[in-house]
Amino acid sequence: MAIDRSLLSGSNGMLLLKLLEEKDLYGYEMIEMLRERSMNVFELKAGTLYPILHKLEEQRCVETYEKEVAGKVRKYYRITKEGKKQLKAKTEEWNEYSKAVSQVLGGAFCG
Amino acid sequence: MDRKGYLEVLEEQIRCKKAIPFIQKELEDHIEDQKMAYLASGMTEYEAEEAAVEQMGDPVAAGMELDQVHRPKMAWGMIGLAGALYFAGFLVRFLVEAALGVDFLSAKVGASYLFSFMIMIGVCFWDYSRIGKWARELTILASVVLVLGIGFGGNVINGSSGWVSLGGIVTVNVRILIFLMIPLYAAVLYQYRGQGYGSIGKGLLWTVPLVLPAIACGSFYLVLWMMLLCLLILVYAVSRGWYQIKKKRTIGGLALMGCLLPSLSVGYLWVFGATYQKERALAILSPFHSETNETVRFFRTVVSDSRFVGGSTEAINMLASGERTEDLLTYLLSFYGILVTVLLVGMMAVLLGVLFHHAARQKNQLGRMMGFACMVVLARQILVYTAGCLGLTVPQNVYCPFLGSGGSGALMTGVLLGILLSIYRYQNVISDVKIRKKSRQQTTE
Repeated sequence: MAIDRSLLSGSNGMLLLKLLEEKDLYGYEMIEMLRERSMNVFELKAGTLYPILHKLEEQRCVETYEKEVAGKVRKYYRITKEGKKQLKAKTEEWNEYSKAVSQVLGGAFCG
Repeated sequence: MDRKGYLEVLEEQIRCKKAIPFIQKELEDHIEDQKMAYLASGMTEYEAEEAAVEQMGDPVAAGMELDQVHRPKMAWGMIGLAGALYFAGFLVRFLVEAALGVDFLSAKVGASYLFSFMIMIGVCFWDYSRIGKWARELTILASVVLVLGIGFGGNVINGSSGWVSLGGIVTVNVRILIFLMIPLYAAVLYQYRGQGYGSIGKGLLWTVPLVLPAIACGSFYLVLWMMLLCLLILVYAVSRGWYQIKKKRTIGGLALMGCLLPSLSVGYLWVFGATYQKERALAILSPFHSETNETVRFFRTVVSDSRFVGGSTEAINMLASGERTEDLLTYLLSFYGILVTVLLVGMMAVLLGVLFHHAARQKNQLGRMMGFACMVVLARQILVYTAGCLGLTVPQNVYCPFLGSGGSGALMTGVLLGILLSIYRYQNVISDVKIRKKSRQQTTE
């Protein structure tokens, strides 16, 4: 099903922080993991991903390091304490919002 | 659009060109990863490359978003606070001069503060990371220039050596300018990141160029201060995990060295030093001893006579007997009381604290280390000066930022504050030189 991208905008940071909460990832891995977890609904472009990651780094929500794996040096992102705090706040905000939307939609359907 | 074209369009959107190399590398790596995935799925080389670039999305939108993040930032609040402190320092001097009717150098000091402020702004716009690239060469150069300066153009003023005349027009004080080498030392240590115990040996060896000008000045205390500050910077570098060594053991060893240095120095002075050196050592070691020197007793009397709010006639009368143009803090205490003095020193502490807070949060390790070094020097100047003016220790003729007089001190303050502001300014622009270790996590913050 095609999804209106504006529904996702603003939540990308939260989704990326959620992935990083589980383990450190590099950019390409994040896109793949997000696609798999959402069953191909969230197909983030690299041009969208990196500005979000750099913004999160500026806000001290993530930090970076390099690791050499199989002869290739990759830039990994790691969630920080601040990032975990932000993720918790954003998740609560999202749950409240989605609950409210569901209630409105549910109410409409029940008529 | 091919890979080159995509990156060119994206980079055109980013105004700060210094930020481009590390952004470009990350995006190229991503294209390469995506291409490999397409190749594995059966695409041809050409198809995989084209599809990987297509997958990147709109280069203009991405470039504009990245431009918003990677821009130099000005710490306007800190600049404002520094400006207010310069003005406050000048105002206090001017008011004391007017009240006592003596020359307190307020016109000259006002000009030097303006000079210092301009230096601060100038250095702020300069990319501090260049120092990191040339730290060793700059350290050697500075050491040679200062030592040769004292050797060939050195003067003794008021019994103090270390003054160098530049063509008979300007005289600079090496005893103050030498502290500009401390951030350089921090940048030298940065170059040995990732190494083992050899880095500690090299770090200790690099204290030699910093100590040589102090020896040329003939100041035992300056040598000691330089060595202690270098040790402190080295301990901080070890604590940041820069070297492949056991941290606790190394820090313990360096701390022991830091304790032994003053003890051995005092012991040496006690055995081989001149009488005045022994007396000074005793006064420093036991400042509350009844036989401490006359200056300390004088300051203590003035301080004990001062009031919490407002001026104290007794204290002012005592100070009026002499022109101590460098001890402005004591005058401030006598003329305006303890509250105003605490407020001014508190403002200086806030400025340093906030600048250090920004430096300590740097992703860039060089910025973090140089910020720490600048902060340590400025804090040392303020603490030693304040302790002297309050009669807590023997005054050591230390230049205090925002209160002292003299061009060399103004230059030093301007440069150090400028470096701290530059670190803040380029925090999202400059990337570290990477440490690459196989299967071992290394921060590139």
